[in-house]
Amino acid sequence: MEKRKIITIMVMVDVVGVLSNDSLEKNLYLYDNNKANGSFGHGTEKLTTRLIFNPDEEIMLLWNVLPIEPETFVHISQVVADKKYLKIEQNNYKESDIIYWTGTFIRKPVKQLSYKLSIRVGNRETEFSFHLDLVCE
Amino acid sequence: MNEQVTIIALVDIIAALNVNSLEGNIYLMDNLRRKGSQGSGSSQLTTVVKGGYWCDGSQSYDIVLNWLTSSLNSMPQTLPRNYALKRSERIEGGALDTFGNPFDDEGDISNLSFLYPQISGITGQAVDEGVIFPAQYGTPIGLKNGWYWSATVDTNKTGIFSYTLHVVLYAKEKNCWIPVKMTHEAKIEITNEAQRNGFTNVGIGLLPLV
Repeated sequence: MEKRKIITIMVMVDVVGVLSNDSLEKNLYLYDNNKANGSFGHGTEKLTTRLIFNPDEEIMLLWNVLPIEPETFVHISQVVADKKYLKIEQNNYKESDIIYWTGTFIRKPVKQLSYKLSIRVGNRETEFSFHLDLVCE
Repeated sequence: MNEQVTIIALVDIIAALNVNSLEGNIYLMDNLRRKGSQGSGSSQLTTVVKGGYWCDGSQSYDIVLNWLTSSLNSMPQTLPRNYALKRSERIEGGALDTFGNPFDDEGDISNLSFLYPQISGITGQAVDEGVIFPAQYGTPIGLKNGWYWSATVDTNKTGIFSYTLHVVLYAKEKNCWIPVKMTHEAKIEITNEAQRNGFTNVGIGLLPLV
């Protein structure tokens, strides 16, 4: 049976900063738990996650978000990637209204795959979006 | 009047336990980046706070630092406090995976939801020289996991001061969590630049001047 490996991609947001500047610039910090396998850009607004595909392993991407100030609100409203490669699902933790997003691969991308992530902050109705990269080997 | 500063210490727990070190596996960020903090998001953070004092030399402004920990290998802390504990009680205290289901011991370690890192103390130059006064407090906020460390800052002492965060990670061994103690250095810089009212852009404490 294939073992499932989880790559967590964490979006940290300075929500007060986003609301006061109306911009993600300098208010967004991206991370994953895969630096040892060559991911780069940790702590910046441009994260590249490097994935190494093994035949006996299934990779699952897991996106989570956290505000820097605990009293503020942020959530991921959308993750969009090419449906040919990545199946994206939104779920909630059982018995809670906290959501998470997962991505599983339908087929291995040739080399690089960009995807779009959108967040909502505070009570602002508009979304803020940005792009991240996957490098697949 | 005081200003609340949040400093988040985000840890890649699996990576840190693998090499028994936080170096390169801990990321610090604060909410003062736009006011001049250096290295926010990286392992090397200098939190920059403005001092400011009255003409008689008395402190005019307090800063309160709050340290919170987070993890790249756990369920998110936006979940209600004790969520993991309640889920775990149903399986007699067993470990959970990152979705809150029972962790399969045969599965890859990346599926395990680790206990959140804890700060066990704050020491070093900034404490020894009476620049920051750290203490631990309780809170109902989930992200703070019940307890958090906080410090008031004597903003009369300008300069750059280092401090050491004592962090406890928990490694899973069979049916136990084993505490593993690690440390990490960070800095605080206090400047004597005047605080400004964000609305009027003039000094604080007086009636707004226009």
